[in-house]
Amino acid sequence: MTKRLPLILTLIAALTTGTLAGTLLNHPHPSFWAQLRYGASASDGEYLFDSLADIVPGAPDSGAFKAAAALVQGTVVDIEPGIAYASDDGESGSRVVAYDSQDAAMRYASLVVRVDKILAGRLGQGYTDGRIRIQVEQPATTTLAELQQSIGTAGTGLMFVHNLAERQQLLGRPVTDPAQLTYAQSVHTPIGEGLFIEESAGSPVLAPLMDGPRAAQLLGYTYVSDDGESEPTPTPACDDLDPCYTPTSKPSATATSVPAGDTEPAGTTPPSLTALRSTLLAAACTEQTATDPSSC
Amino acid sequence: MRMSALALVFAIVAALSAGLTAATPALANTFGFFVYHPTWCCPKTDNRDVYWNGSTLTSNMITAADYGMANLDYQTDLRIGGYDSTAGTHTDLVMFDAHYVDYWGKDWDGSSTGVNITGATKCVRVLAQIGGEYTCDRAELRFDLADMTTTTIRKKTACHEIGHAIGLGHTNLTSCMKQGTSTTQTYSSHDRSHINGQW
Repeated sequence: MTKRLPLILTLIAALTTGTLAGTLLNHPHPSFWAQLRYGASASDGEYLFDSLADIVPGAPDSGAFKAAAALVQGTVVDIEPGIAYASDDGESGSRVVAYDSQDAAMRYASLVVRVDKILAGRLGQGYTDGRIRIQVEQPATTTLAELQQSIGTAGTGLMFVHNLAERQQLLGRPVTDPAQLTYAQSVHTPIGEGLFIEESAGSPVLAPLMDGPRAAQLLGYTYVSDDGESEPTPTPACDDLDPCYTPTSKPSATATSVPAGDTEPAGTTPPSLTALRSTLLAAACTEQTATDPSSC
Repeated sequence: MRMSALALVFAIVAALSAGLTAATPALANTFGFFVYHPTWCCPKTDNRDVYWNGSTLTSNMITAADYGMANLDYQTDLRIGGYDSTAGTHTDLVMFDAHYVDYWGKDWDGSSTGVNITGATKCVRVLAQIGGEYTCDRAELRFDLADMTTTTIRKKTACHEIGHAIGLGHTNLTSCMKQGTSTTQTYSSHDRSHINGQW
């Protein structure tokens, strides 16, 4: 038995090494967006609009939802610490803590985006040196250092944004706390979860802030679930067992898929950034907010 | 000696092969969080006995939370470990409710995101496991009282957020994990198989 002990130990070590080697060989390090889009907070709720045309600058309000101030094409060049909140039982506000504080329960990083072109609307405060900072939740399952290391995979995209301080003012909820005001003036918030990213040239767009079915609904393709099974885009399914309801007086969008523009039969692949850009520019032309009217 | 060496070489080759095979992603799912094959949601709870606290919930909401926890215990192999009258170090789920406006920097009424949030869950203490999995040691569940207008909505939302807290993602099946326009207050067999496959 004693003679076999080294063999048994070697076998255990080999199994461990083999498993780790297998893991590393089969799973390259996740991309920037794979790290950022998953593992964040999760919620339940009602969608308030049902078409990308509703986000375009100049679009009329859709219930409580208000359109973006600007649509930009930009390239993600860096990610920085933004703001962090602690947990408490507060009602309207939550305590701001240092970004690296152990008390931080919710962290928002700032994507540093080089603005390649303002396609529609206008950028206000926080647009300096040709760059804006966009507020995104940092999942607890990744670190800023890991995100920075993978910034080369962040790619380029179309982004619906609004300066946070100006947005809050527009909504009648101005930021008054001096520390939070400074932050709010420096960042843009994504509007309508509308970040559409092309990780590499010609690849289908990602919508990292939306969950899969929602992205499919807005971009006009058939969602394939994480289980690998094709699911129809959400449609109202109301019966005695599962009746439709509206939880508040806030208007809700219909769940019908209304892709902006494309009337081709839905496939399972999102559009390219080029195709999406054309669609969104057409919508901006309709709203007369395109920055280059000659392209309309 | 020669036999031992041969056995050793065989063991190493077999182990390496096993490792390569074992690390191939299993069927993707919407339960738990694995860094090399991430899904939208969420780190799964880190233990089978789930302790919870809702000491600041309004009376209607604590009734719904009680229902949600009892349903979890009844429908799945997870168990209510106990109710903690104050949240302690071993409390897994802590629930709050309020009329939220911009709590945690979130856009609760959806005027900017386009999603009117009725309830939200965040794992505030994640644990990294060997092999790239993350589990959740403490999740916070928050319910927006502006939307918690009926018993049905409260129970559905409690079931939904508890589902996120223990690791379930959204679904299009008939389940409380269906987002938005659903009043189903229980988990689907698919949800249960995810949970019971782990516990």
